[in-house]
Amino acid sequence: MKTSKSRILKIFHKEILHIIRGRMLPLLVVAPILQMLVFGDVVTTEIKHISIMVVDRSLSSYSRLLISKFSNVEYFDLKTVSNDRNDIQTALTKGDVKCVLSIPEDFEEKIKKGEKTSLQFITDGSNSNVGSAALNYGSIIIYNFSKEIFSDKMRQFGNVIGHIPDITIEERILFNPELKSTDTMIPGIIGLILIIVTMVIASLSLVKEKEYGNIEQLIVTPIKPYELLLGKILPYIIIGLIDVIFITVAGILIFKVPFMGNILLLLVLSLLAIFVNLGIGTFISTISATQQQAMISAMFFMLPNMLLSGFIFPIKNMPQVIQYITYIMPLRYYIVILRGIFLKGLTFMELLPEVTALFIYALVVSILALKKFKKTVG
Amino acid sequence: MNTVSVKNLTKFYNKQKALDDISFDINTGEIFGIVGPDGSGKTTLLRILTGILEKTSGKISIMGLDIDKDYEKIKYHTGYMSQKFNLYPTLTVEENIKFFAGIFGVSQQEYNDRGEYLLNLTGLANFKTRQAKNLSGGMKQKLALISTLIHKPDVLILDEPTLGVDPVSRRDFWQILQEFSQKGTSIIVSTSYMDEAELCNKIILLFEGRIIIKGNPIEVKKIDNTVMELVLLEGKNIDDNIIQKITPFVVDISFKGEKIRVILKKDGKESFTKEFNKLFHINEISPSIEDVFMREMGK
Repeated sequence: MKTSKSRILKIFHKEILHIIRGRMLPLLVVAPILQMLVFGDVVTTEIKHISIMVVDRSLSSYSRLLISKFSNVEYFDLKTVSNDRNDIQTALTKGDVKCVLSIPEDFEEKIKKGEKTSLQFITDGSNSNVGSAALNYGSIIIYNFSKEIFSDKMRQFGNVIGHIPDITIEERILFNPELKSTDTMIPGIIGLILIIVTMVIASLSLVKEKEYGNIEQLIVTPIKPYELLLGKILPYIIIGLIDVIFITVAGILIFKVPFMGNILLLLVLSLLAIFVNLGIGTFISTISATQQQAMISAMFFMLPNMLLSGFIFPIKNMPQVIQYITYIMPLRYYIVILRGIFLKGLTFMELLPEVTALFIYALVVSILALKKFKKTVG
Repeated sequence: MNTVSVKNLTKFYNKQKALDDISFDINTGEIFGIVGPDGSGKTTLLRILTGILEKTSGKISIMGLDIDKDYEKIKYHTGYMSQKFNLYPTLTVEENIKFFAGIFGVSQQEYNDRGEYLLNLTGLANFKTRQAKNLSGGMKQKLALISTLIHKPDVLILDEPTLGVDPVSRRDFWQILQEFSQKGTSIIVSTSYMDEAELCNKIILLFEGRIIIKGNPIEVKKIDNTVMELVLLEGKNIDDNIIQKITPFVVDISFKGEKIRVILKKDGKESFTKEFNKLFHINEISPSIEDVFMREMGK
């Protein structure tokens, strides 16, 4: 037992030296933080500051009132106000604005007469996300405007018909009240970076032993496959946990992401995710002969994990068939755990379904990987 | 005492026969050479002896231990150095040696004594802190040798250790091997250099997976074929016609600069001399291992 431990330590020591000498440490610790900075700021699902042009042919107090509604919200940036309809085509084609609000000549006249009038809202559909967001925000503003006018009129008849009933929705979003996308992105990024550090890099480092023939030299020594594997992956477990702590702290300090849960629980459950990743990484290393092959195989695992785990796109919006596929993505469970601990302060018992899924996953891939690894080494 | 004993060893790759009925014994302190052209099965044989490859049939015992039953124990008695440099390029000379010492459970005391001795013997003592990737080819081979010797193996298995190494380093390397053989280490070495074969105590010539010659280099060279060196007489020219005339008399013909070297067929000395002494200056020479090998392959 003592010699076994010392052999594992020997491999561990060698791997650490290799990571340091190969200048891998900055890559493994600093790169994830840079990645977080980039992801946290760029990957935002909120759309704000949509450039808008208003063609105002009414030139009335009502039209000015409506325009002011558009220029007072952060969703729109009012670029120009024109009174020529011919400008619409050019502005949209050139991409100067993403949408146009056109107010007809008889706008005020009809309102005053109590007749129906309609506004034209034109959006650029080439970026469908922006287009539909603009339409949404625009409709809300116009609806509120119309309601205001309606209430004004009704109030004048207040004495005759009594009070007007008014039902409003009082919105309250729990856990991420401002719907800030960074709050949901940063926890997700931890999951992504763990995949890179523990699955991709570890599988590459295992394949390297094979590619350089080191494995052949180790086979003739008394070292056991599990000792080799343990010594090799131990550094990546430690680096993975350090990365979790770094990104959590950086997320709290830089992006003001709330952290409601227990850090210890986060680390323990992250360890579970690390085991899943390392199991998959080891498996990849046994089916690849070169680092290049391993890289491609790892990508093959990583991409669906990113896209189908709810990291970027909500699972509920996916087609039913794809939703079933998401169940085999380990990141799916880990993301729920991460967001749960960060934003909701969930406890172990509340996360039990995800923990169980991840635990079974870890168990299955670890056994598979060790068996396959034994075959290639022993 | 036999340190290594191989009996009726056979290896198939799928249905392709790679080794055919190989048997030999090696004694304590013997240098055992496995000679043969590329693809003759040298590496396969060594990889089976180290346990990296599994044999198809036959018996192998090393230090009295059966490879099928006591492979894990055998590992402590053998050291293996493969054709390719298999150490860690980012580790220094000393770290590489310490790594393998640690894996084999060599004690600190033993390491101190043996490590220093090996470093001095190979002249690597001044390069202890240099990373392995920055060593020359010859130094890399010596480092690999130290790493396989650090746990004091009784049997050292080397696969073409001097391939692509400069002549001076090659000679150094063989001196180290001879020193260890004198101390009682049995050494199995494969090579395609015939001059190295002459330095072994015992050799086998492998061809297409079979042993075609076995014995010590001096015995092996006692063949009943005459080897002649021919030098063209003044004013004579060589043409294809002459080569065609020579062919029926010889088993092998080769050209070495101005000289032609022929291995004659059995008892063909007189008739050959009679036929060609007007054309060549004929000189009988003692056969080399290469000649023996060529003769066997020509059969």
